[in-house]
Amino acid sequence: MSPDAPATPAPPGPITRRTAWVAAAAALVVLGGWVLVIRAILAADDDPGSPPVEVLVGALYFGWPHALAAATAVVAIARTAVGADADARLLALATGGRRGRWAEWGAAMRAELASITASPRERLRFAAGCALTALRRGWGRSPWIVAVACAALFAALTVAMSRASLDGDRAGGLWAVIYGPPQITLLLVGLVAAWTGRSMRAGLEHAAAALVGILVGVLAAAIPEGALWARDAGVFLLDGDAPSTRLTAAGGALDALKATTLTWGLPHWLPWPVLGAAAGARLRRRATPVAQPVG
Amino acid sequence: MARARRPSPQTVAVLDALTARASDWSHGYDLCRALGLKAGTVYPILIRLAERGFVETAWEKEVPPGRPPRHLYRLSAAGAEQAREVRRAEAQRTSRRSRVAGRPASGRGAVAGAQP
Repeated sequence: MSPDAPATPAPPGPITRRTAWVAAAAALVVLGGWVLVIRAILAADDDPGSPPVEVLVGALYFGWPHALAAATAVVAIARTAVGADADARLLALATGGRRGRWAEWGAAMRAELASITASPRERLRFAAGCALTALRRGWGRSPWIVAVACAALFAALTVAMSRASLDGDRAGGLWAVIYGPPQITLLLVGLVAAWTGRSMRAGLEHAAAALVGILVGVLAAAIPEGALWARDAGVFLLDGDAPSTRLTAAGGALDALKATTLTWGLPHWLPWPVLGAAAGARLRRRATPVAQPVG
Repeated sequence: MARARRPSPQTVAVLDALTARASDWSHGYDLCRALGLKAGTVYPILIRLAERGFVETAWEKEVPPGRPPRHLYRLSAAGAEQAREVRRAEAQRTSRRSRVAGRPASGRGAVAGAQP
């Protein structure tokens, strides 16, 4: 790109009152979703008469990261997607948060869109094509390195916890791996990447890659370990519980898969990339003095 | 070392369009329209060509009020050489293909290697 480029990353827009209301509404909707989930779980456990307070406490306990992440995402999107119309906002969102030459390519695409007055359809076509390009390119290698490292780390951790528990108390090893360590990892990866990359987008890209890596690593180890636990101990890898009927190897593997993707794993990991990236970007903004425009 | 790859037809089209404009600057959207390609196709090509030093970029100096300066593209000297090289390779491939197509068919193995 040209050295005399006028394009610098657009500063994030202000948080308007409307944005704050939408963010609060998003958080409430997510918490409402958790109330329904907790009620459904308690009903399935033959405990339909749970007091509403218990349901609400459960929803708050499990759902607060999701509610906070939803509100954070709404604010981040509203501050990044700034433009004269929907096409410009779409492109601003797709190109926002990039640094260096990728920020310049984003500025080039936005400027080109601003010059298109042909027809709304033509503008949308151009904006969508540029948005796809901006989202697909410029990730660099580091997210993939993070993904591979997380996959290897969590695969090793899953096997180590499983074998230690199988040789010891047989209380199951998967729960301790998939509930807690991934959340902390995703928060830290998002935070550090957003801090070093000076943008929430950098944090999100790295933390999203870490999430995929963790999921792949845990599944690659937990599925065969779940089958091994069923064969050798006749109990679930997740928590060492015994089923009411005889547990087959396939049943053990399937339980490990369900625990990782549906119940105790993935759903609880999802908010943490957003929270880590937002925290890292915010800390970086506070630590960096605002540059005065030159000239 | 970078792997020598045959450029896609779209890349060849972009190189041809920029060659046709010689030292004049082009806009991204105008290239899309002239070539009938989507922005999602043209911009990755422009980015790749610029990264390899085949395309020079600049920002508009004189800008009408109310809109930001547009980005401009033209072939660099290396890009012009690359475009000639691509055209030469394309021409060789075409002539090879027409020679093969013009030869009487004599089994699958007859195409490769054998010279009259």
